[in-house]
Amino acid sequence: MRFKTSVRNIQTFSKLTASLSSLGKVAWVRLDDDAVRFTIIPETGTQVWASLSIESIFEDYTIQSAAPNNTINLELPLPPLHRALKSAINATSASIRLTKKDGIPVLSLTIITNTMSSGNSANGFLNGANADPFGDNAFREEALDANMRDRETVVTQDIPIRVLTAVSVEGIHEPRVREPDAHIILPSLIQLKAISDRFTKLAMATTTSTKSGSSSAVAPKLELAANMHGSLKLSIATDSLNISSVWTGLTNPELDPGQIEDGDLENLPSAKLKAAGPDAWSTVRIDGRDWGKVLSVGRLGGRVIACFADEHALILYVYLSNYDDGADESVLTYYISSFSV
Amino acid sequence: MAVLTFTINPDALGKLHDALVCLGKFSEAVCLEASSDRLVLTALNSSKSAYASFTLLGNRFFSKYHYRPLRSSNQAKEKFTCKIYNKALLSVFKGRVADPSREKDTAVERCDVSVEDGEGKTKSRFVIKIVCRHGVLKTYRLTFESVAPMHALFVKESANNSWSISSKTLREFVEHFGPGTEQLDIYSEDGRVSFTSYTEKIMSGNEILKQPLHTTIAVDTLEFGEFAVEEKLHIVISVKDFKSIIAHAGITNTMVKALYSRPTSPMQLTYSEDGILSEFILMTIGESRGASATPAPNASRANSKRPASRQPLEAISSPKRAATSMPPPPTTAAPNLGREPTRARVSRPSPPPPQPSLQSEALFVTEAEDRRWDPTNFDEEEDEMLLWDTPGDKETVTMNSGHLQTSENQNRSTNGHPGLSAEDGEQSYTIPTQRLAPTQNVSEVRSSPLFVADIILISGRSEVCLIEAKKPEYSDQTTK
Repeated sequence: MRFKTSVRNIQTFSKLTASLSSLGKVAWVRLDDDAVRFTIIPETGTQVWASLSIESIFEDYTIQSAAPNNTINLELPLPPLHRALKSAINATSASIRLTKKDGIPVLSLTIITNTMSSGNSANGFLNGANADPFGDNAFREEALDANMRDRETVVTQDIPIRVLTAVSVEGIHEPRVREPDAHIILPSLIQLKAISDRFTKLAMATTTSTKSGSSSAVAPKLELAANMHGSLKLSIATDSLNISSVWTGLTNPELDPGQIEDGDLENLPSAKLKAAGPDAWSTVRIDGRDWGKVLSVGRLGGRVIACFADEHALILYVYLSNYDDGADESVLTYYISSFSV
Repeated sequence: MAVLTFTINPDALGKLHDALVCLGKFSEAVCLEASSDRLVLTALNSSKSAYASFTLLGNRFFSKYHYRPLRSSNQAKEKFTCKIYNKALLSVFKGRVADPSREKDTAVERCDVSVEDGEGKTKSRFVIKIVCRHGVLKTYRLTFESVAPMHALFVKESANNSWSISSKTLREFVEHFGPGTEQLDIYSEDGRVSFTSYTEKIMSGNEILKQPLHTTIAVDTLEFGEFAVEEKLHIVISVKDFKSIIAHAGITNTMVKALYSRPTSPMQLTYSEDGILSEFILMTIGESRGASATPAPNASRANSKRPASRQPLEAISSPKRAATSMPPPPTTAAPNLGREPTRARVSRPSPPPPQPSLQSEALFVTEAEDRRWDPTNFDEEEDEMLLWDTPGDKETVTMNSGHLQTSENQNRSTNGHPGLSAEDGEQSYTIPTQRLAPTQNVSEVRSSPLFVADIILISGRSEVCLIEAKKPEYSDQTTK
């Protein structure tokens, strides 16, 4: 079993781990010849199934195992990974390798930072050498250069992991959801997040004040609804208030007829909802806090399509922009169940 | 009569606060030792494996510094020593530290400290007067315990390994260390130096994922200003202590110098700036120790069993001080202080968690911007929401908050302990809090400037007061 790769895009990888770790502390990571997959299945709350093309975060990717397609399954704690990646933000290069240290399997992240330019001002070494540019030191530039090139800091971060057997992950499948009633491209996530958080706060404030603090543990439920005529509605209702925001002029993406099983676009639930007009909504009720965590994916800057299965579930597809056009797409899929009234 | 008086300007006040914060990471109590030209603040941790000291030079750090030796019998004492509960000091300076944007109306102009100690009628008090703008004067009277501090000894002559490096560079190193590790190994070979933060706790099964990050930083010796260390020598110290030191050293750009000899002998870290000399002595862990050994037990074990010459941190107390005992302050402070460790455990089940290392934005530039994507913590922000407060309102609150809060301390300390003995009670009640009702007569205002808040923080009890002072429900304001 071998796995070794360079990290191509530390920023993206770091943002990905930040977004994922808001929903769960441990991820199931499946690495194979074709893709890198992160799956988070918390006890309660939203599931994430993220499938990334290898080139979106890695390069010089080598993987080898006895399993078909060279698959390696890992259980990976996200906070240490995220912490480790922070060390790499200003790095010259970073690579990851699966190895064992003291008998414990680890993902070893090696980060190389060159400190050529920064110099060590308190050190006095460079200052002293540069003080007299026209003196004898002018001819020693080469020696200085050589010294500086050597000044390389190597940080190694070892993240403890568990290597999972193929059998143990065999039974884990993506949730099945019925054909959605509405699909819509979400507006700016930072805007959506700000308003959602505001609503959640307002609801919490009004419920805690009327019920004297005892109900603070119960997070308020946001109602999110979409129609097939470009509108998205976010609302919240408590005993004392009822507010909603409506976005209009959004896009309901066209479905690719090739993707539909019997090609019968007319009979799809979304087509029916569209036919029912702009006053026909598909609605889900979601936990305000959980929704805030989901929306933290906005930092990745992807395009988000929300699919509404009325009173049942909300699925978000977050498409990440790719390094190369035509490469496999990187998609994060969020499965959010709807609460009943 | 004041034994010691000194004045510090706001800038130095900030530095004093930084030093106290650093000392607070080692011990709950801070020891002061004043002599004619310097004031030394020290802290020794409970396992006696780490010692921190800051020497404030009389003529450079303070704007005024005067030490008047106390004459007992016929001999003048060279030094005045005492021990103060650090949280009491920190709470005095907290928030007073220069933050011109937030507290421009109550900015500190000067801080006068005088220590009164004497036999007979003089009360032993550590009096801090903070002079703010608009004539606001805040006076704090703290009790202290007259004990000689323990100093760790470090024999420079036997330390054959030394290096020095910029504190900023060290801070960058420390930022790579994740939480939860215990040891820091420093090792050098072939012109490369490695700092490894690790833990030796062995975990199994699912627990394995909770193993903290194991971090190694390998740098060129050229990063160091000076580097003269025996090749292939492993020297291990507590990573928490190291983080505490670097958090302080990294505030300014200075050169940190390390001196050490071999494992199980102490390591000294020193740096200085602007009239403050900082010195830390840390016990190093032996290579041959058992796998689960942590620095603390090691040190204490060594302390009790080993001959004096090999004690990890050899403690001495000022010889004169130990023999001639000061009259105790007229409270029962001494017994109180004696019980302090137990009290601390009772009122607060676990010791304060290790301070996270200073997270510099410099290293992780993108983080601040990225943070807006973090899930909102609704619990924390609950208080801030849906209030009518405008920024202007808040300013007014800040102006008085010091006064109000400390008054509550006072009330708390008087009322919170109904079962106290008479002398105890008397002590607490003598100086009531000056609360100015809106309609108060000018004559009732005790002294100029505008108003004076007299606060007693009884050192033995102050912990209770300080912890509970923030409770908003506090209502019992009657003073007996």
